[in-house]
Formats: sequence, C-alpha cells, structure tokens
Amino acid sequence: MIFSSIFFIFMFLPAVIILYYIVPKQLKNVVLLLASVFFYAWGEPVYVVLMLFSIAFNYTMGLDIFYRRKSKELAKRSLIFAVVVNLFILCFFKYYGFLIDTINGIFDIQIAYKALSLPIGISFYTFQTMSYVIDVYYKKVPVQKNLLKFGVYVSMFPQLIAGPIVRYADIYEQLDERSVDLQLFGSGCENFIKGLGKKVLLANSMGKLYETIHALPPSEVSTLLAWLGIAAYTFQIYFDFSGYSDMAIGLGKMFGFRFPKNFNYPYQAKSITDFWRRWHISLSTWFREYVYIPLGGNRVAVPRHMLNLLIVWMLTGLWHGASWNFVIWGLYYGVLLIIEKYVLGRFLEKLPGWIRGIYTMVLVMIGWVFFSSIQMSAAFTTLASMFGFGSGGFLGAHAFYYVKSYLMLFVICILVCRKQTLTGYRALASRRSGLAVVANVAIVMLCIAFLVYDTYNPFLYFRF
Amino acid sequence: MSKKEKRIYEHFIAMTAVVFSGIIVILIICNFALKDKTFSEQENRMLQTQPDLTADRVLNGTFESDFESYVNDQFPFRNAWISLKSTAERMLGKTESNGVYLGKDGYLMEDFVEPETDNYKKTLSAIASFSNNNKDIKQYFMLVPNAVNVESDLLPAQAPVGNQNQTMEAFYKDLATTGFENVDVRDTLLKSENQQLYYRTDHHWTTDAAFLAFGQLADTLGLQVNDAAYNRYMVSDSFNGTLSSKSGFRSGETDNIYIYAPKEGTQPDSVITYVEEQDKTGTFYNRKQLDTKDQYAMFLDGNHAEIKIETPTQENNRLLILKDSYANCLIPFLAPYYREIVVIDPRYYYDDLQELIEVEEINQILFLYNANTFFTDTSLKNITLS
Repeated sequence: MIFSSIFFIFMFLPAVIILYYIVPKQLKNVVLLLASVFFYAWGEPVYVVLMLFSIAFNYTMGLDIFYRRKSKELAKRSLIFAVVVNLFILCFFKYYGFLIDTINGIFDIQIAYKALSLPIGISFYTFQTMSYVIDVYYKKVPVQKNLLKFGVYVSMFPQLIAGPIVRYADIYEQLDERSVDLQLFGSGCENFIKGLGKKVLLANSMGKLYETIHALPPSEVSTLLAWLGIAAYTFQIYFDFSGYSDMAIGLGKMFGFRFPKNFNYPYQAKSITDFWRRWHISLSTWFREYVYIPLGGNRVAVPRHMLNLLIVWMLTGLWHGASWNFVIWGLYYGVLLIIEKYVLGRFLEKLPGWIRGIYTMVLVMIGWVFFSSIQMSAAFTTLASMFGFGSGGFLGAHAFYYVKSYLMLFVICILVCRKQTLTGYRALASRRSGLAVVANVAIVMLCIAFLVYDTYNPFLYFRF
Repeated sequence: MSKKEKRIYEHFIAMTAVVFSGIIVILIICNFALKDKTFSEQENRMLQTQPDLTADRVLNGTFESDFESYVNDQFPFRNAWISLKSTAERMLGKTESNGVYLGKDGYLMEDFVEPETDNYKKTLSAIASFSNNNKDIKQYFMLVPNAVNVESDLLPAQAPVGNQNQTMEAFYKDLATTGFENVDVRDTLLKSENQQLYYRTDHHWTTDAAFLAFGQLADTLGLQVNDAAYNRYMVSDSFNGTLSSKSGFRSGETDNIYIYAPKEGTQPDSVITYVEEQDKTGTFYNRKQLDTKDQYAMFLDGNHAEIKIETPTQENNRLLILKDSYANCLIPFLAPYYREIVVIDPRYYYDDLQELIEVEEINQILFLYNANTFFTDTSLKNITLS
C-alpha cells in the first residue's frame, strides 16, 4: 500500500485512526501492529511472513544478548550471529541475482537462478532491527522484553516501507508512553499534506517529464533537453523521497510518535559534504554510527581514513540497489568527499555562496545521471548530451515546447526546495491563519484530483 | 515568534486538522451515499466494480489492485476532479494530456504513434495476400490523415508529435506492390483548410471532410456525382467528443454535427441491415445516439461487425468496405451508386471474409481507415484467416 493513493487516504487511514483513538490505552499498540501487518500484506501478502520472522528473530536475539551481557565473549557471539543472519536475509532477497550475475560475468559462466521479487521495505526494516541488536550489545538502549512493542517498532506502517530509518534509540521511550493532542495531530496533518503535495503534484509531474525525455533516442536529445531531463529527475527524486518522509513524519505524529528529520533542504547545500548532512539524514546517520565510526572514522591515519570513506560510500551506494550503477554513484560521492576534505575545502570556503551552490548542484545532478541509469553506457550518453558532445544539437526541435510546458512547474519546484519558502509560509500561518489553511485545502483538493485520475504514481524508493 | 503569533499558528494547526479530517469524512459519506456506476460516459470506458474476494486473488495481489481501482473509479464527483486536474495543468502551461494536444483555435488533436514493426509487417502481408486472393476484383485503399497531420499548424509550437506523413508515405510505397489502388486524400483535405475538417473535441473527421474525400473517391471509382443534390444541415450543437474525455481539456466545449441529406427525389432510398442484430432501417442516422455521450455514433449507429446496405440502382455493382469509424459518415454518400454495400469492421467480424465475398458476389473492395487507427490496428492481420 502506498500513502499517495485514494485507498490509503480515504479508507485505510481513517479506519486505523478511528480504531486507534477509541480503544483503551493498553490496546493502542495492538491496533498499530495489526494495522501495520495489514498495510504490509496488502498487495503482497507472502512477504509479511518474512517481516514477522525478522521481528521474532531480532526480539529473541536482543534478549539473548541481554542475558549473556555478563560474558563479553558470549554476547559478542550472539551479536555477530544476529548481524550475519540479518545481512544474509537482506542479501539473499536483494543481492542474490546481482551476485550471481557478477560471478557469471567474471568467470564467463552461466549459473541459472530464479529472480526473486524484492520484499518491500526490507532494506529499511533490516537496518532498523540491526540498530536495535547492536545498541543492545553496546548497552546504549535497554532490551525490549515486550514482543508487542518490539513488533510495533519494526512494523510501524508510517515508516515501514520507505523510512525514515528510525533507530531504536530514538523511539523506544515512545513505545511505552506517548500521547496525541489536537496540536500534534494537526501538525501531523500539516506534514502529511505538504508531503502528499510534494509527491503527487511535483514528483509525479517531474517524473513524467523525465521519462518522456529519457525515452527519446539520443539523436533527439539536445543539450538543453538533456539538462531539462536530469533536472526533472533531480526534482522528482527529492520530492518523491522527502515527500514520503514528510508523510511518514506526519502520520507518526497522528499516532503520537516523533520521528527524526530526514531531509534538511539538501538542494541548498553549499558543498557535497554539506549535501550529505542534509540528504536522507537517517541513512547517513546509520552508516556513520554502525559502519564509519566502528571502522575508526576520521581518527586514523589519512590513507585509512580515505579507505573508510570509500567503504562507507560504496556500501551506501549498494544499499540503494543491487546494481553497479549504484556502487559507482556511491563511490563517486566517496571520492568527492575525500577531495573536498583534503583539497578543495579551503578554496570552497572563500567562494561566494551562490557559486558554491551551483558547484554542489551540478555535481549532484551528474550523480543522479549515474543513479538513474542502470546501464553505464546510458549514463555516458546522457553526460555526452549534457556537455555538448551528443548528437542532438544544442537546442533541438522540441526544446521550446518542453520549456514552455514545464517552466511554471520548475519555478514552483525551485521555490519548494528553499527553506525560505517554508519560513515565509509559517510566518503567514502565524499572522493570517485562514489564508494558510486555504493553501492547505487547495493542496489537498489538487492532490485528490491528480490521484483520482492519474495512473502514474511510482515510488522510486520502493526499490531500495 | 511572539505569543500572539504562536496563538495564531496554533489556530492554523487546529484548523488544518479539522479541515483535513472534514474533507475526508465528507467525501467518505458521499461515497457511501452515491451508487456505484458501471460505465463512465465522460471517459468512455467501463469502471471497476466491487471485485470478488477470494483467497487466491488476495494472495496473488489481484484483489488488492482491483480494489484500489474500484475505489478510484467510484470516487465521488470523479468527473469534477478530472476537470480540476486538467484545469490546473492547463494553468501551469501544459498543452498535452494523455496523448492529446491542446491546439490553437480550441482544436484537440491526438498524437500519432508510430506503428509497432512486427504488427505492421503482419498487417501488410495480410493485406497483400488478401489482395492476391481477390485479383479479379477492383481494390481501393483510402487512408485518411488525422488532424495532427492535416492541421499540424494548429499544434502547440514545437510539439513533439509523431510524423504521420512519413509513415503514410512508407505505407503507400508498400501498398503499391499490391493490387490496391491508392486514394490519397491528403492534398484534397489540405486544400480545404478553410473548412472545419475535424471536430474540435473528437478524433473523427467532420461530414464536410468526408464529403470532400468522397468527391475524390467518386472520381477514382468513376461515379457520376451531383454535388448540388444535398441539403447540409445541423443535427447537433452539443457534441463533446472522446478527445475531450481522454484529455480532460475543454470538457465544457461542444462541436456541431452536420449531415448531408439528399434532396427530395434525387436519390433512391436504401435499406440498411445490421446483420448480427437482424435490424432493418431506412436511415443512415440513428438520432437516439444524439442523447448519449458519443454522438458521432449517430452515423450508421456506431460500430457494427457487419452492415448490409441495399439500394435499388440501375447498375449491379456490389462493394465490400473494410473500415473503422471514419467510414461511418462517408458511406451514406456511396450508397446510391451501389446495388449492395457490405460494410465490415474487422475488429468485430470473425467470419470467413472470402466466403462472404463469393456469396455476395462482390466486385469492388474499399479499405477505409484513418491513419491513427490503421497503424495501431491489430485485427486486419487476421483478414485472410477463415
């Protein structure tokens, strides 16, 4: 089930909210768990078994590590077992085909395999359960003895299938004690509406433009169109994913949860380092906590530090998908971060802000070229078109049409990417609340209109 | 944020909660209050109705996806939401929706989609062998260009539409290797651009355009036509066609439909038989269809698998027409010149065509298609099968 659907907004969500609010306190977690299992099973009932297994397994391993806490050796063994099993499940379902393809490619052999469909959200909930067992081992969090509460943590439908990756440490207290009042519920609605608008009105429209340009033969893609296409993708992926995070955060609030922020205006970043502090924050935090710092972080010799960065970024890339282009995309950022850290950083600081902004966005857009092209050759064809080496000329026969059709939308996208827009809106809401409510109503009405008719509604991050 | 601002902001949050919940609750109530519909006239398609609930269908996910379409299709005020969407898109500068362009002068035009190579080859070879099987019979082919081609100057500037002319040229070359005589009406239509050749909201050509094309066809067929023998008059001023439905553009606009009625006593009357329905009538026009959404269906009562038109003429010419709906408004012009016309729509006709030709003693064959339909057609490749 996806949030941006008529079925979710007009049937599932109202039903769950009513049920959740009328049952007594001790049953609220039960409602949430059952709703989440239904949410997950809707459309893909089989893999719900896998998720339930993951809950039971990590719950047991948490207890096991806890009871063995006196013996460092035994506890460590349990931890390693837990992590290995989690990674094995993730790899089996996500990377098995990719691995066999790669082996087949290297040794020029033909091992046959049956391609499994990817269980939705497995990358997200596996990372969450791992954060739990690791933190229990390091005694950063208390063990969870209540299976129900642990089940709610893993399966909670607002963040189950596309994040944010809520670490157990951030949320365990709320599993025991939380409350909702009109302000929190309303603030949840506000987040949800903004997220829905980003996804339905902006991401889907930009996605259509990207796919139209992407489907053209290279000879028809002029330099202008190539940039237009990748700009459309740049907006699509941001509004798609941050819209989803906004909706998740909003839904969390409706049930009394406070999830960490996942995006902080990444397209206003002034360097690549800055960009990654603002983009998919919950994922970068996870890799920092559980990979980068255990590897020694930056408190090691320079070559080792570089290696650490490359390992972390290769894994970050791989997390996004079982394909080489994601690895390349990750390493691309690893290398850029190393360059910024050791070479470019000092020069960058002296440049005016707008130049640093352009520098960052150009590199980010080039990154999305790799990210969006499963085939390396397609990425290089797009890059060639972007930098004037393509066969489609500079303007092309249809550029004017696309610019005219999408100019307004681009302007809106650029505005929504800026923090100042939200600040302005909040200022309006704290002076003329009626006007700001009208804006929300308009967004909701437009979203319904687009959802009722539109069949184009993919979520990019479902593949991860 | 001052204390007052904080209070107003809290008011905003509370209002948002109330309004958001209110919109959802009201629409849910409307949904329960309104009856399910099975057909959308506006979109001209069947709507999803409540799907069957079985364990199998739940486990493989078909129930869930059908149920979601069901909720979407039966959503209250669906048509109003659709026009809201297209209005919003229009305001942002979009001039294309669902393969339909919003052109100048209010013309909606369907994009041309290049034919799929494999299907096109099969269609072509079926036409060639059909031609070969009927060597003794005169064969004519009229491929009518669409608005996107003839009225291309009315398209939005630089619109990336498919090149229909190029594909038609290629087809004409292929056609020349068969026994068909090509009736290319592009110049005839282009020369008459001052007339309204296509409906603004529909994908069909107007009766005026069909009459122009008939003029050229009559020359090719050697018919003696009296141009002045008709009264042209309007039968509808409330036609909102399929392109409007498909795109959501101009849903409030209407077209006029004209027909050409022969002057009293100038032409013999025809008897029209809808063969499968066993229905006989004395008119080409079914005015009941003017009360439905798709008013173009008034010509020959829409699409039927087989129609027989018998006219008491001097000569004993018998014509077979294989066609799509473009032919429906042209056929009335041909009727007075043939003892019998058998009209076949291969999309719905599954009997042996060769046998039909022999039984009906056909001595002329005409294929009449519009290019958009012809190049995506998947039924013509089966015409030589029995």
